Amino acid sequence: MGGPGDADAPNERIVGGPHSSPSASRLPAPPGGHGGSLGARVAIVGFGGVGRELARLIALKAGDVERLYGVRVRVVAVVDSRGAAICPRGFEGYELLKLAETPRSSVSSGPCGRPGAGVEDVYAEAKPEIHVEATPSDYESGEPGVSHAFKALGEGASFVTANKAPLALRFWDIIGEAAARGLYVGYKATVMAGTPLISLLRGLRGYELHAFEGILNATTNYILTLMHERLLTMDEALETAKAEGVAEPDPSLDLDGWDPAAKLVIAVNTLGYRLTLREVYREPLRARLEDVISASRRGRVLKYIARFRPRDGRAEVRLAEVGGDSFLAQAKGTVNAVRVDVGVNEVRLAGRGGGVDVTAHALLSDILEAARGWVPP
Amino acid sequence: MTLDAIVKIGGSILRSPGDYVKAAEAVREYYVDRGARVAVVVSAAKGVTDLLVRAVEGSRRAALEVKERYSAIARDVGGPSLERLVGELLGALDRVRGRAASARAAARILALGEAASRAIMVYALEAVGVKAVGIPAFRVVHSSGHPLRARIDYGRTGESWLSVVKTLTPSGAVPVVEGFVAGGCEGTPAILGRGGSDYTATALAALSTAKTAHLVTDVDGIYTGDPRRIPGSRRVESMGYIEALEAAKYGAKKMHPRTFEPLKVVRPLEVRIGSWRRWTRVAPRPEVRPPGVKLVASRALGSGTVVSLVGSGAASPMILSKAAEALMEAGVDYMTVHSTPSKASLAFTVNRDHEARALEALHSIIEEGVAEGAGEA
Ligand SMILES: NC(=O)c1ccc[n+]([C@@H]2O[C@H](COP(=O)([O-])OP(=O)(O)OC[C@H]3O[C@@H](n4cnc5c(N)ncnc54)[C@H](OP(=O)(O)O)[C@@H]3O)[C@@H](O)[C@H]2O)c1
Repeated sequence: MGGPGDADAPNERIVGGPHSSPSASRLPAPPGGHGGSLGARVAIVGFGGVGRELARLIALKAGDVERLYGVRVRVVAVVDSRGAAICPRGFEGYELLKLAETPRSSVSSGPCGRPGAGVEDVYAEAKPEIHVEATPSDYESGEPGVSHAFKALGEGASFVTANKAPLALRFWDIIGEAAARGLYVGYKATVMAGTPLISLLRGLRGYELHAFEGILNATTNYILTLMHERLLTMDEALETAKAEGVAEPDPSLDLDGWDPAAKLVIAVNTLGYRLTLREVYREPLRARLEDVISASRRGRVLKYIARFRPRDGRAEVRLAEVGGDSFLAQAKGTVNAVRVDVGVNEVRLAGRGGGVDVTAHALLSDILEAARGWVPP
Repeated sequence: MTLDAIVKIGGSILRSPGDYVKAAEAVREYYVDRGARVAVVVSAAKGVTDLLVRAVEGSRRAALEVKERYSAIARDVGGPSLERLVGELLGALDRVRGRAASARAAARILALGEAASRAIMVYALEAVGVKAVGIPAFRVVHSSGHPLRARIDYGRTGESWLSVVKTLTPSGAVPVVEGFVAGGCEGTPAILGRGGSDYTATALAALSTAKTAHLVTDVDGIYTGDPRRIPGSRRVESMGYIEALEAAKYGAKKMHPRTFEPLKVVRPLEVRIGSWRRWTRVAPRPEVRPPGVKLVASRALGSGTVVSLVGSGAASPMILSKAAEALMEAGVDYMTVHSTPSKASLAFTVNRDHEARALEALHSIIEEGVAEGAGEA
């Protein structure tokens, strides 16, 4: 996709497509457009819960999105660990919905399926302009996300990700590479499942950061909420969260604090800092019911909090007590909340912190920003 | 962007793999081949919801039985790939250990029977040459309220459903949505209560351009009396919504109490209740036809039984006197007489031993000729 003011960006202009009625768009016409829509060729890499939900969302919303925002989103490929489905003309809505109902690891059994094909084939054949990364977050190697990020940027595609690992481990390398090429990196979906903290933080650049603190993980907040409200032990609360589908069958990345730590790194780096994942002090969540009860008696609440203080560079993820009336105490269940103290102001944001549906919406929002040539971060 | 009918396939006609294919053939024969645009709402296979209720209470055996039954059906209808897909959809059943931890967890389990049935129905339709695609209910049917007794949110559901219909129109594919299930708070599944598939079907019909909602079951319609107990019972040709609801209330037909709500709140249309070829037509208002009594029904109440006459004219003085006379002649004593504000029923509480006689006596006053004529494919 084109960088800022890049009128010669390889964006296809589609004038008067079947659904287009650009006059109704809420946004000004795209740069260089003549009232037509911008084409956005998207590859979805990683086709589990999030990737499928994004495919469904695009299938069902493409018409509205084009009408409102002047961008015609077309998925040209989807990839899982065993193969791909590649369609250079762009999948129809029906085909995307069919792909979304293939069994796991079997996207290649759907329309335009290609067993064994991978990201290389996708770039060679379908020339995506926007790469959506929805593979698992691996905080040791960063793979496959890191390689995919550089592959995408190297191919001239903007990089939009739900996978946190590439940015948690290689934030500035990826941002630098994108900037050098005038490409966009979209990662709203990585933090607070898309409640747009990242957009908010971009708007706080230039302020002096005093403190950043927040609840950045839905599973652990849900567990603590159950402990407080129903007086369950942590094990019982975890079992309940699993039974309700709120916690993954293996929730170790959440309980050990990797997930909120990665989000803290991404958020803080968005404000210009160079915090690494290794620098975050992490205490795995081990909450005891007696501590919950004792805190409650004193009008306080236990929360699993991610914090960064630039003054001493301290970054941490740990269980902490907050006042029962405080902003963070109000974030219950899977709601996440962040408080950013910038001296002259204190800005707060709360919203859902998990769920494939919200995550997919955040990815779509980033796709639109990428397509419209948003200024790279 | 139009839909002619919603066809709801009830669990009573889904007992075996062959039944799925038969139902799919009927959708083709009675609708698709006749040029009608349809959407299919599907229930869980016969008996599955009862097993899931036991699974929610902690029965691992019941959970496994559901898996086994669906595996066998899936294998037969769609081979190994469908079997895998259904296995993935039912994954949460593997983790049933003890009673469901919460209403949300229970809803998640109860919703599985319909989800698996939806996947199987898609394959069955495709196997008989009907292009079809599954739409997970919790992505289109939005709800509010308790997760086990949720109410459909017509506004949000209408928008989502419209985009499904719009997306699939160019391909001509039939959307298949599971009944009974809805999206609850924060993207978790909720269920609509027993018989909720009918409610899903009438809601999706009212929220589209459909002229009919056809609720297909294993009987030909609503009868003037239970044919196994009352010789001479005939199918009722047509009824009004209020009459149908009263009939349901007094036990003539199992129906969700909100089945007709969308038709009152959103848009009226015709509901067909019966088999593929024969049905009782339920329209907004009954055709007035003296004496306006359509059927008899009975329901246990405490130690006695409520036997009732249902029909728009049931509470008229003439019917009351005829009924009292018929009961007297049959030697039935009644304890109370009751009518509802809608005046579409007249109910007598009788001794349980008198139930059969009372029903026969009341049935004798239903006028000849209520069942002939319309209501045939
Ligand atoms: N779930 C949420 O609410 C949420 C919210 C925000 C962010 N995220 C992040 O979003 C990402 C995706 O989450 P998810 O829940 O969708 O995970 P998921 O269900 O496990 O899906 C991961 C997908 O990535 C595929 N994959 C794995 N390795 C691959 C490779 N080398 N090349 C191509 N594809 C590969 C998997 O393929 P197979 O199907 O073949 O296994 C699968 O399709 C994760 O990084 C997660 O942290 C999730």
